[in-house]
Amino acid sequence: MLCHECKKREATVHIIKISGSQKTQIDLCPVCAEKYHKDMKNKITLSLDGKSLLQAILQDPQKFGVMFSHAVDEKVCKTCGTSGKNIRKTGLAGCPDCYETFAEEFESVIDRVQRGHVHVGYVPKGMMESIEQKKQLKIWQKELEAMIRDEAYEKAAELRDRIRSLEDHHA
Amino acid sequence: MPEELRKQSLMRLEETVVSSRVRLARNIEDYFFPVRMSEEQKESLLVVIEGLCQEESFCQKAGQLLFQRLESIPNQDKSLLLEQHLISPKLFALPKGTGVITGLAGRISVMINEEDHLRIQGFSPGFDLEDAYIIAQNVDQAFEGSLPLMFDEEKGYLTSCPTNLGTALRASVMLFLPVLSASERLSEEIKKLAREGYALRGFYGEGTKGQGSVFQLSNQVTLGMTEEEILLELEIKARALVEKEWEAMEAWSEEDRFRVENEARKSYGLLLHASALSLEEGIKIVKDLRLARRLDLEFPLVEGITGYNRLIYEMQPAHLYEQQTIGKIYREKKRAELIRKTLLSEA
Repeated sequence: MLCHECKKREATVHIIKISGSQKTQIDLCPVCAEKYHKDMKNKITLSLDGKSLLQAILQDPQKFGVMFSHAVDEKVCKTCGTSGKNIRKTGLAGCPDCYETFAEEFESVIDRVQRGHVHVGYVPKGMMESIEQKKQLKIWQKELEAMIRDEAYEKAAELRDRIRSLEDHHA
Repeated sequence: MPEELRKQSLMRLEETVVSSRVRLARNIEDYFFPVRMSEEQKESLLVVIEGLCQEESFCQKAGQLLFQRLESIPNQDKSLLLEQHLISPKLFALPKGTGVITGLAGRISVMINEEDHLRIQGFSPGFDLEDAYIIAQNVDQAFEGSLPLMFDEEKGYLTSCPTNLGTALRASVMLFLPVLSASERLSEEIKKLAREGYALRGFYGEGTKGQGSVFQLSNQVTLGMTEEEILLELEIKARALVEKEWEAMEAWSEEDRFRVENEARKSYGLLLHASALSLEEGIKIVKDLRLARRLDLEFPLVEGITGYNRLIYEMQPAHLYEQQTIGKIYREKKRAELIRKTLLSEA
């Protein structure tokens, strides 16, 4: 197996990373493994000294493994006009679409500070229904594909109608 | 746990935890986040919220609330809100296009157009995160029923800062840690807690090095955990820190004890005889006398801890302001009187 990081040397060190309920394995060569451990050590000896976590990250993104490089300066959010420079300066999204535009940067912050990438807490009442519906739609879409594959056209037509009515309701 | 140990742990919590707070960040659809909002947008949102606060159905859910634009609040009152932690230093510095809602005798506040559209805060005296959460949640539910809140299936509540995504819940407890903070142990704890996703900071403003030995412990993780998990874990961390504080005291040498006792006696004398006290002097007196409760010094001071908890807030300058007595020395005179009145049982 090749090293996950340099993709050149043989991976002999296998690190299991647990964040929340997610478990991932990283396979590294001895050279990259040493670098990995050094980075981890840097990360964990940070103290905030009264600063907010965000301020600390902005001051030294690399130390936190956050990807706020100058490359981000090129990007601009089409919806609200927030530039990569703004992001590097404030660390703040200007609108929800910024989370798409600057996905890589924000994901790296989430990686560093959060315990997962998916919300598991309270869902607003109105949203619950629409989230459930979205899930149901996905399930039905898959079923529909299977039915068409199996040439069960009558059943498929029935299901398609149900999907349409749910989609209409959703809209 | 045997009865005696249970009692001891309760007593330690009561002596150490000053107050609890829960903050929820919420944003409203179709607006940019405040960092990107135009003045017109901010104004339009303020009008919406102001209107909401006058609606009967909203007030029925949220309770009686007072809406104010920051720019309409006199400076002195604004400082008072800041000292009570009802508004943040950031909002204090942003008078244009911002607002604040307060209610429930200072136990609820909503900052408008700070970093997020709404920052709903619930406060509880002592160690009661659940109570603080219920207070905030109640107002959150009222907003949820009236406005379309930004929510994403994966990221949860959308916030301007990625460090608040998910539950957008930040909870904190205020702790009195005079023994830990007098030693190197506290900076070790701060580092350890930071690794585990917790921040421990001084109470009297950001950057102050724990004047008065009052610290705020808060969660940094908001995504990937449920609200209940966040509150429970913070409670566990706070309890552990309280135990460490008292264990550090148990390890005192004769000399340590003598020093602490001497400081307490000096502070007691100062409190008895001073006509006026500066904030720094007041903070030190309250700290020394609060710590002395753990020793047997037989000062004729009040028995309950609530007075000490209240003083942490009430001896700050804006709390002592009166129209007629603007001079600093009069505020300091009032401070001396306030501390005496609150702590001396004979006064």
